[in-house]
Amino acid sequence: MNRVSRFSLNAAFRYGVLIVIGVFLIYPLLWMVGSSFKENLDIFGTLAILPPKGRGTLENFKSAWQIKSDHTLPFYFGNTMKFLIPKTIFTIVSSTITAYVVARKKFVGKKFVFTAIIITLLMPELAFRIPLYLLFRDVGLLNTFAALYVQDIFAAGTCSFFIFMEIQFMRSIPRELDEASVIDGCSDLQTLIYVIVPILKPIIITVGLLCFMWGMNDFQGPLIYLRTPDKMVMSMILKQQLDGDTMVVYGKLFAASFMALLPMIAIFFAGSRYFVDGVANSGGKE
Amino acid sequence: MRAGRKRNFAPYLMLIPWVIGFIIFKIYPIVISFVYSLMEYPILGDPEFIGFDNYVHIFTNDDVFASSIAATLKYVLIGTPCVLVTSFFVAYILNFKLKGVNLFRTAYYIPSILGGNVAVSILWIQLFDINGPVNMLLGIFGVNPIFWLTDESFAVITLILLKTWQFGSTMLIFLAALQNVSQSLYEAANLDGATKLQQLFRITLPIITPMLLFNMVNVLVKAFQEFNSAYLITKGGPNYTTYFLNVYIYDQAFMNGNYGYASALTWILLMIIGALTALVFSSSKYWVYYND
Amino acid sequence: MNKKFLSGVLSCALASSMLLTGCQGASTQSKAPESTGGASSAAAAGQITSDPVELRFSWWGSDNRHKAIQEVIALYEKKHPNVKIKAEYGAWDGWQQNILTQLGGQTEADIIQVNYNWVHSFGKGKNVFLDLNTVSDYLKLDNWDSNYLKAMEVGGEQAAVPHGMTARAFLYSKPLFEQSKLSYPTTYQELMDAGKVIGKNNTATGAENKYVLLNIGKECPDLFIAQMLYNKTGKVMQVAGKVQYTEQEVAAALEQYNAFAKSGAMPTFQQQNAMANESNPDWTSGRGGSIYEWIGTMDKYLNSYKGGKAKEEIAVAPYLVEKAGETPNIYVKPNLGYAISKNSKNPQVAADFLNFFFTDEEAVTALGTSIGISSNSATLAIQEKAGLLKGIMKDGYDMLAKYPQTVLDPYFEDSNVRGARYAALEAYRSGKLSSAEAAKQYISKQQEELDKLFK
Repeated sequence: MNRVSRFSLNAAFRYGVLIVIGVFLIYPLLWMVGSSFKENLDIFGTLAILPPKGRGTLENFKSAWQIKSDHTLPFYFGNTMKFLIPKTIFTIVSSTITAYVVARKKFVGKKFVFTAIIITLLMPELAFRIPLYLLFRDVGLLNTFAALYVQDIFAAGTCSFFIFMEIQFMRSIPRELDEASVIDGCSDLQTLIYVIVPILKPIIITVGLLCFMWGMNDFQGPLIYLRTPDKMVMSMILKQQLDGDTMVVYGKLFAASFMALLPMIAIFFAGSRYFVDGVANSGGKE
Repeated sequence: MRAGRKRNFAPYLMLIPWVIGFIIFKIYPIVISFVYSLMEYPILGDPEFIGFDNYVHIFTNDDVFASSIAATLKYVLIGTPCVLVTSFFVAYILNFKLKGVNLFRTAYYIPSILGGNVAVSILWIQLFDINGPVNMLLGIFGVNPIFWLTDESFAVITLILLKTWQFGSTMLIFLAALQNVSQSLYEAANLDGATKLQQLFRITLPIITPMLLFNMVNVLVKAFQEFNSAYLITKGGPNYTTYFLNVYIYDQAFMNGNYGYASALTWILLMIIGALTALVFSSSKYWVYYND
Repeated sequence: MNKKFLSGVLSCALASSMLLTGCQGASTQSKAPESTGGASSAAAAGQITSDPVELRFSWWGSDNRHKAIQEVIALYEKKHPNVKIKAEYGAWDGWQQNILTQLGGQTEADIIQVNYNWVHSFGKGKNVFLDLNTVSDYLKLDNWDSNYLKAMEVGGEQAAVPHGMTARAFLYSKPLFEQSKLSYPTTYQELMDAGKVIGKNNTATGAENKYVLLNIGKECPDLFIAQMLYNKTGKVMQVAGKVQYTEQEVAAALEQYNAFAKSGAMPTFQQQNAMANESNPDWTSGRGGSIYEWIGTMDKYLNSYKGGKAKEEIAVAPYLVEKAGETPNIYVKPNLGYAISKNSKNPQVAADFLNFFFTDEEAVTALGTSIGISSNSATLAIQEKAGLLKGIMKDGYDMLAKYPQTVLDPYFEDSNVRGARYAALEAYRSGKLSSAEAAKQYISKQQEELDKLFK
């Protein structure tokens, strides 16, 4: 009896903390969502979430859905997926393989490779824009979605982050596990797939989610490498709502951002479920 | 015998893609950018070799660079601990076994999904307006209105707060690390009668130190390369107090077309990040616990 | 399972290598027909080719501009079925980086919308676009006022043609002044006096503050002060790379500017809301009495004011002067320009398209005012005929027409030169530097940047 009440008190306290933090994090977002139902005049200078009585409008959502005269929002979302899905897959595969080798295998030049990964992690991306642009021009990758993920096939681009992340993570996995599998006669690849990957599940999902979210928000890459209207992606379309020459309809911008956000939230929600599974699995095996 | 040979070659084979990527996408552009940094190189003009003149000019005759470095260091050195502490704290709470915790995880991550979105910059400008809600809230506690965006010492704080608000990625990585801490360790500790706080400092923290190191380096490097918030919210002002190096590099390269000068700035940025990261790594042997 | 994974990895590697080689093949293929197209059009000498031609046209802007220009492209393609024009457009933000990168890689579009300062600053005084004199058989240059053409001339070459000219003008909301029984100020002294009445209850942070003129952001104060210096001294900012003002002149102007802010006529550096655009709440609510904006884009302030529901309350005011009755020279600048790439395979067709863009009745009507009022006489005539010149934009241009005009120096808007002025102004307005120190910096730093361009 005593134990139960202590437990529920504890839970109440935890929920309390979660909710307080949530308010600080979510209130600004609610303001944005609320603003997508407002006219420009009602957006600024106030932090009320709801539009003034009788002034709410769905117009912003209508115009944001038909964001361009020739295409609707899902078209640009589709374009985004055309590079984002391969990018995420390539990133996961190439980063995991590279991280596994560096973290677990003995080979000549291991120290060098690890240092090189760290150094590439530090390099400001801005510096590479022009040399890489010229390279992509010469191999005919300009105005193709492949320009946005070709680096990830070869574990370059933002993969350094993920390789480093997975290396750090693997270091906390007991070595006995893969040694045992080698004794069982598994090859390196088999060890990676059957032993390491299941334990790495939460981190692999994290890699996928982060790669996906960062790629979704990247604006400079698409701006430089893609140029025809039929190749435009979401981040470019959102930016296009801001222009100095005509009045910015902020409600439309917020509505479009909100609609673009929804699938991402769904993906994230689905992804973060696996954290719980990940624990159950690795816990069960140990 | 055969198995032994196989094991010897496999690592090299598996590394091939990385090696190709490293040479083409990292070594090649960085070498080129170093060559550019030794040139007076207008993107659209004829490059002219000038040795280390760009570097000399940056260190001896460039007030903007001095302000820019100060702004960047302030942002990095204050911002990094803020993000790390917040995200660890939240990850720790989110790791509780509670019903519906997944919903909170998602909700907490949403600000980070938005990233450098323009909508966020507009939101931040509103929140930190002189007559905005942040000042209203502080007013309840008797604090005088703060000029968040136009006061030299507060502008950078405003941007650090934004960075802290978007702790999602870092939190997610901590969370994944926490999930990997074997439950059997806690069970054993519980049997020994260790308190929750003792468990946190004796078990949880040591085990996740490799990921803490990763997050520290990651946040540090990202902070050094901050661009969007300064570019969209404060426009580098007031008086260059939020004119981060990456914004300066962008302006030099793409607004002023001085690609050589921008490359030199990039190399300096690289050196500074490198030095700080080396410091973090060399200290890591005293506080990071590896299983291997 | 294991085999499956292996084959997955293999096919990934295979696909990626095919991807690289495949695209390489495609790029060499696509180059071939272009070069033959160029050759035959040169052979046809003067006659626009009937061979298939593909052109690229890049511009930035807002949605209505994208729609309008694409309509013009469709009109042109209908008349010239052998020509295909590919559109490449985006928002202003980041666009300059995009264009610079393309120019650096010689992959820029055939026809490029350009900004005034690009024409001069990109090549540091050397033209980086096609000299339009070489295609003047196709693009009629005599439709432009020679002064306006000269503004986009670089090193003796016609780098681009301006679409229109624009200037800053004052737009004010009548009710605020009627309430205080004031008319809109005409001299700097009256501006100050009006501030003492309208802004008399202003506080350091007040949300309900009222101002005569909402001069906010970086660009507005800079242009306001530049025009003020011009009015007071009769000298322009720079001539042939030399700043024309003395430190005393600049210091006096800065002090006067700060006095405006102190009197309540304008927001101080701290008081200004960070939304330095048409959605500034002080403007949309009607508490900011006026703004100082480019005539070409004034419309957006009209649409945002009180939710666009009180347009009749807004009017264009005469320019502020030093002494009543003066008509000083007003700074004007080319609004948007259009250039042709040096690397274009079909410069004649590109020029012909631009000519169509400026002179075809259907095309100009389709464009509407999405790129503003034109300074090209042929375009302007069509715009007038189509009744496009109306409303506040027309009022603005009518007001400007009452004053003599001076084209802004090409390097006035160079981002380094302008940045030097911005820095000095901000340091003074935020109280970091005294007026004398700021004036010194205003001149010396600007001169330093100009020297780099004129060495």
